[in-house]
Amino acid sequence: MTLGTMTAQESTGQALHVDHLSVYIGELHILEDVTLRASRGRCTALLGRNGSGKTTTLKSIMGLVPPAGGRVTFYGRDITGRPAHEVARLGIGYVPEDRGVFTGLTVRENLLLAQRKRDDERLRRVVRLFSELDPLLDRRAGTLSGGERQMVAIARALVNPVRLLLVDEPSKGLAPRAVRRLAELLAEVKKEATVLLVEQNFFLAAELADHCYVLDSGRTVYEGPMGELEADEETRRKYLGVA
Amino acid sequence: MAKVSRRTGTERTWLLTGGLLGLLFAFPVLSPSVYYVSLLTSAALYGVLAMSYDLLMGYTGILSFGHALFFGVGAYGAGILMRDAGFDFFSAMAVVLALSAVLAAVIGLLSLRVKGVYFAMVTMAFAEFFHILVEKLYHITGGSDGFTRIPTPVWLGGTVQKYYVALVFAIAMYLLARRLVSSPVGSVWLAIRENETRAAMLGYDTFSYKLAVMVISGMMAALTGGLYAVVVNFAHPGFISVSTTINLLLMVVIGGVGTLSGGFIGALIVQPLGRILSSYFRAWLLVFGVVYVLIVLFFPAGILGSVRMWRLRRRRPPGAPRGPEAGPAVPTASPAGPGGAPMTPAAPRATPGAGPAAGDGGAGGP
Amino acid sequence: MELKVVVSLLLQGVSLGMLYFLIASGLSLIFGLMGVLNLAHGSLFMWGAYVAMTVYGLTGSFALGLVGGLLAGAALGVVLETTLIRRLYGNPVGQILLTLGLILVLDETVKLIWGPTLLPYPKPAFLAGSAEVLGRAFPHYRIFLIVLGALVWLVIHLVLNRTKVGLIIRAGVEDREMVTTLGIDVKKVFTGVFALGGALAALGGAAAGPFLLVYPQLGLNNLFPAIIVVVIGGLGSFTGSVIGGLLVGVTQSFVGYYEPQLAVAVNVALMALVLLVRPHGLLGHRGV
Ligand SMILES: Nc1ncnc2c1ncn2[C@@H]1O[C@H](COP(=O)(O)OP(=O)(O)O)[C@@H](O)[C@H]1O
Ligand SMILES: [Mg+2]
Repeated sequence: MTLGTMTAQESTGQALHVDHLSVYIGELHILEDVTLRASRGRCTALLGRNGSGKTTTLKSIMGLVPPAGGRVTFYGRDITGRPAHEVARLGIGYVPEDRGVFTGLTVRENLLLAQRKRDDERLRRVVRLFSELDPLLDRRAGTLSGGERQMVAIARALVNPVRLLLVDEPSKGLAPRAVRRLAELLAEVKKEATVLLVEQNFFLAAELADHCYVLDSGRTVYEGPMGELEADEETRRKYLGVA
Repeated sequence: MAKVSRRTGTERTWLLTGGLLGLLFAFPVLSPSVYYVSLLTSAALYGVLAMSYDLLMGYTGILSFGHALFFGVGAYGAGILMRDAGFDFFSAMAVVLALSAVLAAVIGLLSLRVKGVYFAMVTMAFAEFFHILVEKLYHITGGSDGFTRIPTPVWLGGTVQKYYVALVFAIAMYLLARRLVSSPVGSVWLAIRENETRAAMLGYDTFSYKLAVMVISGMMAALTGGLYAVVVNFAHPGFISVSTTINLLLMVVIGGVGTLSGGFIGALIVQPLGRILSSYFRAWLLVFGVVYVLIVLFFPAGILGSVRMWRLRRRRPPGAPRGPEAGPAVPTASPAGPGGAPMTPAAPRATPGAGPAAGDGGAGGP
Repeated sequence: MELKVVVSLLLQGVSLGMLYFLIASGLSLIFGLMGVLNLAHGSLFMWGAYVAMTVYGLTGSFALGLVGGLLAGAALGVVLETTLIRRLYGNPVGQILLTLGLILVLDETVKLIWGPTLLPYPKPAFLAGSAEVLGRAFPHYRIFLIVLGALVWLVIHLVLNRTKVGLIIRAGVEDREMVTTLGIDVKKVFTGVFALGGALAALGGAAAGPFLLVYPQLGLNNLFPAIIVVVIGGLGSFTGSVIGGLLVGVTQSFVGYYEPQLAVAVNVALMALVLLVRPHGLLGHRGV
């Protein structure tokens, strides 16, 4: 099954290029100079302490926070400062930090709302992958557990053809068992879609990602293959607080 | 406190203020007819009322739709006490003050539990409840005919006396309000206006501060209502109606939210100017409405606030950094949750040391 | 109390409740999706009444009058949203101040066009009589109000619950930003909702006109009841405004039977009570 869609010319190279991005909120510099690339077909992790600017980076890519400087390019196309609905239509799926599930809607409605072009076959495939959602389709999302809501949020991002999936701290607040299942699912998803993953849980990130970036105080301070960071205890201690 | 040094460079402002006061005191002599004197009398009193509303809306960021209630309580309280209970003016006013303080505290305790639009609605419900009460209790209040024949103390006998009493009262209330907003309590009010969550995180019991401003502005409005009723010998259920509150809103917004003196400018425009113009020009209210909408959209700081910002910009050398100062309160109560604009408790000065109203500009933080 | 009287009071209360619902539904919808407390709602209501009365007078068709009123409301809604209100999203105080000014503009325009006096808006002949219910007369026009209210509720209910647009609206009530990240242009939806809210307000006015009479204070006089109904039902809940309307209507009908003097105070008392017990209304569920 394919969750992502790619044309032949897209089958190599970069999906996303964030270039010297800076963001101000009021007088505050939230992002100073963030540069990162997400390679097509890979999972790229964006790491950093609480408050280092990870969420803001994703929001800025998504068009939810206007950048003050820098560029965001998506498959060669400049999307800097485009409104969120346009960005989404280009094929970027977004799973926000607080999951963003509509609690007053049923699970099915959450999925239907997201699907821009009716495609029942795709919907079925997504539900098959997220099998525990199947019996819950007509439940109000507000009655679901945190893990189930997270699955709705990810499934919702996949009901359209996605050329890039942005996922913000999916494991936050989940029970260990739910984190395991989430890891399995994301492993499935990343086989077929380009993923930019923000994660506080270093071990989960290490398990999923191929490449990683580390943010600190709104700047990119480290870049390298995931395995290298795993070995680099000093950098981890310095920027992530994990040994 | 460095008040004196703040005043240097604003001598022109003081001259202007002095000239204005001179003009106001000489007005009964200059005026072609007593009609204009009485118009200005009611403008002065409505100005105080609008200013008391500005304490709530402009300085603490509380949007009440029930402020007219206190005006009405003052008017009816003074009227009933003086005509039917044999009170003299000053003891009636003392009772009105106590009564309005208790009423404001009770309403505040009940309504401050909710915020924003909900608060506006609850206060509107209270005011409307009293509005209906006053209309229904006609054997006490005279119902919708209004409460008439309120006795006038001798020293308030003529139109000119009334004018001077209203003028002195307005100046006194203005100085009191100015004193309040530049006190430590005033800076906490401003902190609440800028970002209540932040103010609470800094350790202020924001509920008590909001209750305090409700009680104070309620008492000020009631006192004004009492004086107004005695001046016009009359009280009417319309005093308590939502349209009175709407009028106050118009006055404050047009004059300048968070400026105190803006309320007087607004009252001057809405009251005498409006009354005179509408008698000549049928579409005046429509023009007024359009102007008001344009002010809300393009000059949200109102007349006074815009003038101050303009003067401030002119005075500042080009290219100077924009500090995070608050400026006159622009009614954009952004839905700032935790983490809105940067702010320290002493930072949000509503009056950036300029303009006639900024004499007392510099109290430190609490 | 006799059963006959109870039934008759109940019917009267329901028709009054439906009238309240018609007055409040547009306000509820706009506040629900956009968080805009549209104080000019009463004025749109009044515009509906005036336009309907005029079209009815010109064409002789009551139904065409209703449609004309509705369209006028929708058009006003679109114009106001795209030119003015759009500039102040995320600034609730600014919106309140703006829509307050729009009351002045809209109401004064009515006075300039139609004059400051009361105008006749007769009931159409087929709605002028009355039916007999348990031996008591019940005016046809009240039946019409009940039917129209139920119809409006049903249509909006179906739109909200059975269509994609409804899905977007309900999701937008919860989290506007998230909706945009799904590729939906919320701006257009907002304009649509404002048009719908204006249409509902104006339809309410068009239908209520023959019942409440048509005069330039009609808007302001009905703003307050509309707000009360929406607050009781719960800001942001459409079904809540039906319940709020019926609650106010029925209570008022019964209280009015025993103590006509108190009937006016009923809605204010109900609102105060609901706000004290459930500050966000019967069906409201959003945080402070
Ligand atoms: N709306 C806002 N107003 C003020 N500061 C903000 C706002 N949003 C985020 N910040 C600040 O920006 C910084 C980065 O936040 P965020 O991107 O959420 O970090 P992360 O996701 O890495 O934890 C933090 O210091 C946060 O406090
Ligand atoms: Mg984050």
